[in-house]
Amino acid sequence: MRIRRGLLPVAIAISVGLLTLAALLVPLPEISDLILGWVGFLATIALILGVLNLFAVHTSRLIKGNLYSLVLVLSMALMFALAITDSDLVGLTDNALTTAFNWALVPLESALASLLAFFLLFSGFQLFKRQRNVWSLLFLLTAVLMLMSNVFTMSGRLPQNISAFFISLRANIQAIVVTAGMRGILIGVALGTITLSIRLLTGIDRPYNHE
Amino acid sequence: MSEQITCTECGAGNAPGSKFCNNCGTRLPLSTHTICPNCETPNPRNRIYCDNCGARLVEEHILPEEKPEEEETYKPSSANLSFFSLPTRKPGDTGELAPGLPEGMEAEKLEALDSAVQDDLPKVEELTGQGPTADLPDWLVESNAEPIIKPPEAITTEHYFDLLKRSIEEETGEEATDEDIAATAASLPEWLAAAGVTPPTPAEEIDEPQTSDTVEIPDWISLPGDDKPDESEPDEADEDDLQDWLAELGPPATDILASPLGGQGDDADQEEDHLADWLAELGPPNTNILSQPSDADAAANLPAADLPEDRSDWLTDLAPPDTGPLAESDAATPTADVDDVDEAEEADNWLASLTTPDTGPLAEADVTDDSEATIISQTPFDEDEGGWLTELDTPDTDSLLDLRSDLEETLISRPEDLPGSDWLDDAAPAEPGAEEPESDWLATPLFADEAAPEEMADEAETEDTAVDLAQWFTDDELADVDAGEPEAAFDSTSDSLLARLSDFVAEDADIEPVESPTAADEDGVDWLADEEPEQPVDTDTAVPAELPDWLSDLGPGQETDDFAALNQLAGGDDALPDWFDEASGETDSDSGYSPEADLFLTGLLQSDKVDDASLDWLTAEEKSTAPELAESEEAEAAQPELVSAEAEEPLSEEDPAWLTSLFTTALDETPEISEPAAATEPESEEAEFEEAELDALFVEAGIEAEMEDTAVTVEMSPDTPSEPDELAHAPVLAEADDDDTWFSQTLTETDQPLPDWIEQLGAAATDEISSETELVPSDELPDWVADMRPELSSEAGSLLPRASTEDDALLADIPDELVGVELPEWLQDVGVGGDEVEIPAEAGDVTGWIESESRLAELLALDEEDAGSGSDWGAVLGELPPSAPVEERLAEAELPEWIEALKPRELTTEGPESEAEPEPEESGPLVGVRGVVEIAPIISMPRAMTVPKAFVVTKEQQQQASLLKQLSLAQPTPVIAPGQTATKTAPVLRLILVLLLAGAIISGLLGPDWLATSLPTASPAIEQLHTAVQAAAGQPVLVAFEYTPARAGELSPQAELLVQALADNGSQIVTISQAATGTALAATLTEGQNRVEMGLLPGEAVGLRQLGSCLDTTCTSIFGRNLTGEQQQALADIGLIILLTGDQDSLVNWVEQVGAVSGVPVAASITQALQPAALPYFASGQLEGMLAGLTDTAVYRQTYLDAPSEQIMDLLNAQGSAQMVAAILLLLGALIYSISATRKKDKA
Repeated sequence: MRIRRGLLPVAIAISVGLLTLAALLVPLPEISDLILGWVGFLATIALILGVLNLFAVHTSRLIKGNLYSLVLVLSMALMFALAITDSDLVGLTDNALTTAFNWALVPLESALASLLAFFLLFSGFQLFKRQRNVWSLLFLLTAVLMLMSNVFTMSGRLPQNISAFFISLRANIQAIVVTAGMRGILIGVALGTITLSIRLLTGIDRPYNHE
Repeated sequence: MSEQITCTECGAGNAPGSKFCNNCGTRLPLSTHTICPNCETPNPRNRIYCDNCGARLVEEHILPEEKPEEEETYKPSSANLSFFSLPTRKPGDTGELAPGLPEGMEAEKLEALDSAVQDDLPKVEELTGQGPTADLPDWLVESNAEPIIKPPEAITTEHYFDLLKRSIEEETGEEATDEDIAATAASLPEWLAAAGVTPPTPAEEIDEPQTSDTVEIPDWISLPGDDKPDESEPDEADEDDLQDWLAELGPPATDILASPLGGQGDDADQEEDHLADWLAELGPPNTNILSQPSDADAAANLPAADLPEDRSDWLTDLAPPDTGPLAESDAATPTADVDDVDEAEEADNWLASLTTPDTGPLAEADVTDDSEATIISQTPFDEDEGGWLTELDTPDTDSLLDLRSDLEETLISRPEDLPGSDWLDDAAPAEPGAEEPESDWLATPLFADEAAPEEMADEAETEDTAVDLAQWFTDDELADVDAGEPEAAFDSTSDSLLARLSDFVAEDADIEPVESPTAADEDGVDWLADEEPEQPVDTDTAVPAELPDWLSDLGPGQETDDFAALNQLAGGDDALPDWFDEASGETDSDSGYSPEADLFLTGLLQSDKVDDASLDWLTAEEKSTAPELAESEEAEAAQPELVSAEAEEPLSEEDPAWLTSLFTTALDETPEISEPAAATEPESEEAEFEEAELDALFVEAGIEAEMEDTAVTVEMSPDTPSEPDELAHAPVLAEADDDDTWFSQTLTETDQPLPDWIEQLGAAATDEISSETELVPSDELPDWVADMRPELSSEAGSLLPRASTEDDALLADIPDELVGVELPEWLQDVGVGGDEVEIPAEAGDVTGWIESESRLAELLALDEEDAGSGSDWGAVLGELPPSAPVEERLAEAELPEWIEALKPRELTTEGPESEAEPEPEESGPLVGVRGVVEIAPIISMPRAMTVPKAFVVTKEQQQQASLLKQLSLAQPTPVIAPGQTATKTAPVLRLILVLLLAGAIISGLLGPDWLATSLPTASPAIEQLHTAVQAAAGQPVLVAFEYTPARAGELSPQAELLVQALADNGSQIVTISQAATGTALAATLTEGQNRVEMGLLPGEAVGLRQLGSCLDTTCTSIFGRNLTGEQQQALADIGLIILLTGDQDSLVNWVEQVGAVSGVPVAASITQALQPAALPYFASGQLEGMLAGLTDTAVYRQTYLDAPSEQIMDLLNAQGSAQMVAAILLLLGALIYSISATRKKDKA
């Protein structure tokens, strides 16, 4: 009897999902460790495959003359080489990979994160250019209040009571408004996760199968 | 979009095409869409033009073009069906059945429209002030009601016997005799035998019918000559049993001549109701000339109830004086009561005296004569008929006479073969002595042995048809006499007839004059009772008690009938049968003058056998028109005596009025004499003249001696000019070769002063005869008028009415403008007396003569004004209100072309469209039915597939396509708001912002610490964190570096602070990270510390889950990676987990997957942005402490360690400066754009 195409992945997904759920509900560490071992293995293989795919794509683009791909390919190759040279097997370099990380990756990521402040400021500045409504005003006031409260809390030049007012105001906003908002978001995420899990376990959603 | 169908019951909307309501199930109206024949777009059915393409949805109904006659064949599927076929729809069309006509063209609306148009048209009366036919003579106008001529529709018995004779001759090869004919006819059905044509039957069979019931025999047939006088069946039943052709022969038949006289008064009224007003106003049709003299007779013959109440004045004036009494005594007279047995018996007596009740012998002798006798006896008495007599009798007098001659020969040769009959004896007068002389004149032409039939034959040859008529009439008597005892019977018959005539003449002296109908009413009964013939009545030969109406009217003792009979014989009544007219058509004029009647009188007067009694009878017959005459049998039986008794009494002066009418009625049938009704008191000279003429008549006829009594009667009535005139004219009529000129000849011969009425007649009648005396010459009259002028010698013309003097006066009044003017075709038909009165096809056609009339009226009006008091014309026209010129008003009345196009063809000059008779249906339930509409297919035929047109790309389309391609491939350009210089301001603004923010940060780092001068106190989160760190002193603390170098600037100070604090507490630091860069940071920040590196932990939540499980128990490996002993020991002793992260997922996973599973307290050192997400976990206790941002780091350091480092304070100062600049820029930007927007609004 011929098994219908696509039915097997669904069966595997449902069975593994149910098994994982059972491992969380029932104290069966052997089964859960086994399943987590399979997941780790698959994730490592996926990471390797990803690195190789990225290398192949940009290599093809390098052939076409894309210079950014050349930088990427060279950086990947350099870091891979430093890792090999730092290894005990080769021993050519000592802690060269960490040095490259600290001197190259950390400043780059920090610089990239700092650009967020500029983007937010520019967008906030033109907020009333496109939308002049209550919500824009609320956003503006909140942003200004939080920024200024941080400033006022650190500055000893203002009266103590004023600084205390801004500190308490900031704390209340975070404890009430922001926490409530975040809790709502978290609850929503939890419900969505449960729903998605049920759909995966029942085979309604099959992200592993594109049919 | 299609419209929904709204349910009429519940109002719910339904999808288009629904048949039933989706809500209540009510059947919805038909589909509300009509498919456009052009674009097939469904349109609401109330659309006339398509919503999409504008094509017409409703077919235009254009009148079909005229087709040649050769093409006018029946085509059931095309042309002919267009008028009668069911509505169809095109294939695929789901709309409502296409209406045959647009709404505005429906029949009702068209009728309304027509009526509206007609209303808009000026009426003829308005234009002329008179009727539309006021200029026409009455006789011409009044002829519309009934056709003048009605062709015979039934085959007469003569034809039948002729056929029998021929068939016998063909079979036997010999000449058929009457016996053979009679024998052959013996096989006739009973109903036919009863009609008076029964073959000779044995004598014993003759007696039986007298007592048997003749149910199947109609009274009107059996009565005059039936040998079953005791028939007692009700007349209604008899009439019901009549055969069709007999019914047609019977009384219901109509005669146009009788219609205006009241005999068909009801019918005439009904017909007049159907006529147009202007036609109705014209009065009785075509009878002004003809009917005036005969109206009196007809009115006398009519029951009062039958007389039209609204009859014209002329008719009333012409009515005999005895009409009133008749009306009053109608209920008492047998005329009105047909069911009265006594009256029926009287009728029997009367019939016995007048005609032969014994038909059998007559049939044996000559059925033709019998039928003629029947006709003669019936015709005068039935005022309702006339036409039936036309149908009954043959117009061919020659054939009749031939047959009669044959029969005559047979009778002469074998008189003994004729069965005897007693009816003549019964009808004979009481005085037996009078028999001999009375019957001579009748017997003369009948008996060959006595009167030398050769002479009669010679006379018939020489005297033309007039003589034939006399012979014919006498043949009736001959037949009757031949049936039994010829001589005796004829003597008795002639005696009876003459005696009655004398009686009536004698009794006329007591009759009131015409001018005093009231007096006549009073005296009528008396003289009527007095003049009742006292003839012996044979009850054995009495007719059945129950007689039909018309026959009851003929009943004996009903002097009106007798009068009518005589009147009929005289031929002066409108009710004169057509056959009678037709018989004389060759010699007579239009007034229906019957030369036979004249010849009858001629023969009557010429007969040697005529005696006083005969004349008396004739007089009595004439006089019998008085309805007041009593109907008692005694009076009738005593008639001879009464005649003799009253013969000496002179006639009163008023008495001749009706007789004058009677006589003039006879004369009226001749065009020369048509106005006797106006006869007034005659002068004695006229009486003398008439007497002299009568004498001359008798002298010529050789019956001078026999006429003495009659002459005495005439002498006794010197004031009755008409009666002598009538009698005097009779021989003249007989002698006249040309009947049209007899009167003038008579006048010439006599050369005596004429009475007034004759003078009046002379003006109207005699002038019409001679063309030179015509009021309006024919050549000057319009053709249609000339055509209507009776032809003097034509048969048809003899039946046409004659114009009276009044009409001639009208004709004389016709202006010259009208002479020769062609009347519209429809009016011509009216004048001729066509069956149908056609409406003028066009208003313009009508206006021809009307216009002339109106012009004439105007001229007359002008003349009247000039003359002061004008004629009647002027009086009439003077009353007219001033109106617009006729031309203008008539011009407005022109019908639009489209209305003309809608006019039926019958109303147009084109005439009705001839339609070929459709073929009968050959199969199906409608077999034999013609004109069956073809069955439309139930399933609509599939729509014909149309080949799509070839796609042709033009150059223009190609250019448009290339342009579209260019636009689609072009790079999108930024949308710039109007009035904005985005390309200039955005980069500048962006640069300014970058510079301001960068300046703030740089100034904070490098500048003095002007902002971060003091730190706040430690928060509970900071305190709990410190507590947790202190609680984990001496235990391994798992520090997770879950952040990247991007967050290193904010989190690395915290990491350094915490590492220092842990180091101060003597805790081993176990580093782990799920980010590759985290391991590097961990290694960097924990360098030189007591640490255990766990390295990278992949797998996100799963890895953390596995790690958490390892914290509770000893794990040898984590996530496939084996753990060293130190690692296993460190993991097993972990007393606190410090999470350094700026990512929410990492926070959640660590809290939920590690902290919750392992139960190890978790503290978080997070970025200030992640603080809101960490607060819930902190509030719930899932986080033991929390350190957020640089500020908390500085506070923690300042609170629990040493003073914050200068680096942290520089960072805080730089951070504060940047935050302040950012806040200011946000406010500035909002203010700037708000103002700019306001300005734009103001400008706009």
